Amino acid sequence: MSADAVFGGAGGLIGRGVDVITCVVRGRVDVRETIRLTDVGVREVLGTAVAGAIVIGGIVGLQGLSYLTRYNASEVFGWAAALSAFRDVGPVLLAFAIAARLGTQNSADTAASAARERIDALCALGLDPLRVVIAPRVCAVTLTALLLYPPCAALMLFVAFVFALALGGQPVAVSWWSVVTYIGAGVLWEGLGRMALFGVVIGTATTHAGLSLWLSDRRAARDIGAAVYDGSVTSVIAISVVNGALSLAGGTG
Amino acid sequence: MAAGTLADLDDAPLVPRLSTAVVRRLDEVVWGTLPLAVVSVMAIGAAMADQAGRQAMRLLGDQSFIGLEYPVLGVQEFCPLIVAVVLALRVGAGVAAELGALRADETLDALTVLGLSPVRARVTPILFALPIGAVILTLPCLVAWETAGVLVMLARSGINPFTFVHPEVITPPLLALAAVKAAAAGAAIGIGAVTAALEDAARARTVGEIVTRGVVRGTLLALFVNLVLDVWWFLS
Repeated sequence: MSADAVFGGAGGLIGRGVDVITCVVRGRVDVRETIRLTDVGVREVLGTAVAGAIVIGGIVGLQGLSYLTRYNASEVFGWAAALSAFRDVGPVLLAFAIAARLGTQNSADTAASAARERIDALCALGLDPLRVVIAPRVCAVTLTALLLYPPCAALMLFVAFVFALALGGQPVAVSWWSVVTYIGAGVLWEGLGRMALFGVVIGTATTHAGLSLWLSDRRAARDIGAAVYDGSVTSVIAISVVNGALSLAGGTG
Repeated sequence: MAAGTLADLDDAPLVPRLSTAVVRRLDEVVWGTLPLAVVSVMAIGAAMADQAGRQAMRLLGDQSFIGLEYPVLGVQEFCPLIVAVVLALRVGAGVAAELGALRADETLDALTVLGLSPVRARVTPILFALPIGAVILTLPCLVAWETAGVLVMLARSGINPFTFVHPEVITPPLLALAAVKAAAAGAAIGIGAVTAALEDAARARTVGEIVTRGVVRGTLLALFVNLVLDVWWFLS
């Protein structure tokens, strides 16, 4: 099986995404490899995601505080912070953090496999790279994003509450009341849906960038770096555009 | 012809002047990143403006104050933040990859053997160019942010752009805060990428691992610097 046979009609990035989704729907993904990669992904991204969630929570809290002090809107602080952390700001910034940590690594690993002819070796053994390399990587990034979203969103909200209490004297009980009163489960589901889409986007863009070496003669260390760079750029644009489209199409929460 | 070429080579400096190298790097940092930063800022700005408008209508039945708050949110928080993240993922990754590859193929060692400083040749220009470039990038991003808000509010809520735009809320201290945030984030991204590529432990790593470390370090440092400046701004 040649590279052209696998990707000849894929039509670039979107085609690669469609191929992966088709592969998943048909149940042709290597489940064991997906679980292994998800386990590795969660372990490696956890520290970055937690650090990112703490800083983003602080930023969300401070932004809410600035409005709280100007409009004396204590009772809606929790609602605004939760909406930002769970749906409007948290997922997109968390996705950037995942793209920075897991996305770049995904590109680098895939590009290194291509450069060292490991993917050619898989093809020579009669294995389908879409099934054993590409789809498991995209699924693993998506699952990692989904698994990290609940704890990181909760941590963002907690840190926002702590900042509001410490710097603005906003009682945690009032903030929590505001969340319980105004935030429905739909917001959480929407946030989870966004993370799943961001995961698919990051996984597809970075795997695609890494595999570009397979289809070319570029196999040097410098080319691996360039592939990582391409994956990062594509991820950033795709996350921003998908987030904008989802917000414009979404509900009010 | 051949003699002339050799003479040119003899006269050409192996390491360009610092100012020349910084300008070259600025070209990469600013022009290379501008489309990506503008698209990202516009996409996130459109989402924020639309959600703000819809939430304001739902809770208060009034969208008139959004035109006053939206540009402040962009200048104070989102434009410097998005520029920082984009720079970390684009330029930070590029710098870490370039330095990592130069180290892997021993070009940096060769420069040292020739009596040239790899730091002066490769590192110093980027450490100057990133903060300056981040500040320059933030200005068109502010315009892009406001444009996205105007277009979305016009299209979704029918708000007249002339009533939505309030340039008077963009005060000089607010612009100074945005510039300081962008410059600090640019410096943080440069430090993150350079340290990831040049630390002793990097010798044992692949280029991909160096890039990953550089991007993560730069992104987290930039976010942290942003938070520290937010706290300082709020308290002052």
